[in-house]
Amino acid sequence: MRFNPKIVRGEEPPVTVDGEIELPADLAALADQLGDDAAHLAACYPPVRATRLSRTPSAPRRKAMPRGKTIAIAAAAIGGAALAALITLSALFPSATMPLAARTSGVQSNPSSTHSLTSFSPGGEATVSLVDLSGPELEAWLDLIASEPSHDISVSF
Amino acid sequence: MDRIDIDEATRTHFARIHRAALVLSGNPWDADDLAQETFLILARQACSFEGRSNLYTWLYGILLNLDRRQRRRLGMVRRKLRVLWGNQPASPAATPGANTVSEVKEWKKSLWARVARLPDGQRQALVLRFSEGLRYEEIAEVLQCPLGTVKSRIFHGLAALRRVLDQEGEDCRQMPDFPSEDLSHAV
Repeated sequence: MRFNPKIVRGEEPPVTVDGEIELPADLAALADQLGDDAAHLAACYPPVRATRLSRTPSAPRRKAMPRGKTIAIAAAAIGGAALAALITLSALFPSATMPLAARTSGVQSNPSSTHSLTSFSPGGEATVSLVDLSGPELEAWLDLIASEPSHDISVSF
Repeated sequence: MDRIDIDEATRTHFARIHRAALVLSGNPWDADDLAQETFLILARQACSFEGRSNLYTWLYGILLNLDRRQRRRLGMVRRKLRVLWGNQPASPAATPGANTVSEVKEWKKSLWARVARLPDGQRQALVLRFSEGLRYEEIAEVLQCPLGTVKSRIFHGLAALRRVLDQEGEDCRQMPDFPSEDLSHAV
């Protein structure tokens, strides 16, 4: 005789007149606890806002700086450092750097003019206020100092 | 049959599907994935819904299938890991982070963590009945089984849950008391 799994029936649970399962007290308590636990979990971990499926859902992301703005800031920092270096070089070596400074910045190099970053004394000394320098500009200064060991460069506070 | 308004269906049923997914999976991250995948399937296969049942019973059916598939996949990963580690019990530090089920503390403390050990049929019946509050007829529709089978699974599922809890109680009672001997020299 072929095995027919439908013949073998599991133990049928007792049911009430209403068709509800008649649970012993301990199982009824478990059933209540299951419901309470489910409600508690749902309260602890509510769903994220349902995504609109009519259009492509986009996950919330940290607001990123626009790429163009990032490039502009980087260019400004590099330009500032280069300008600072050029101004210093023009102060130290006016004849060598004047054409270059004029080409890049479009400004006539004037040793007597004051600049927010540098001031020139009649004795040919150049002073730089480090307060206004940004990181890249400071780096450019330090490289300059390292590359010109013959010149007397001092730092005062 | 009227075309299903996906957005309206999502607004109406997402919370309940998410709750069921949370109870099934044990952590909110998998629950989010399961719930969202359920509604993605709804969006893709809305035309195949014939309207003979309630929409939410159809959604529960999709969710349970996804959960079953995920458990099967995790089971395969665990078996592969056992092969790799030579059938040694894997400590939490030894198993990789990916594909490792990470249940949250609240779920682990709840009865649903014990329900997770039950057979699929009983587990799903208990979830649909006591987490989602579905009627027996609706559960039968979701599980594609007779009404008597639903009641039997619920009854025997609760009984099995009782046995799991009793066994846990036994395990706790068998644990040795904190030794009175000074073991500081062993550290």
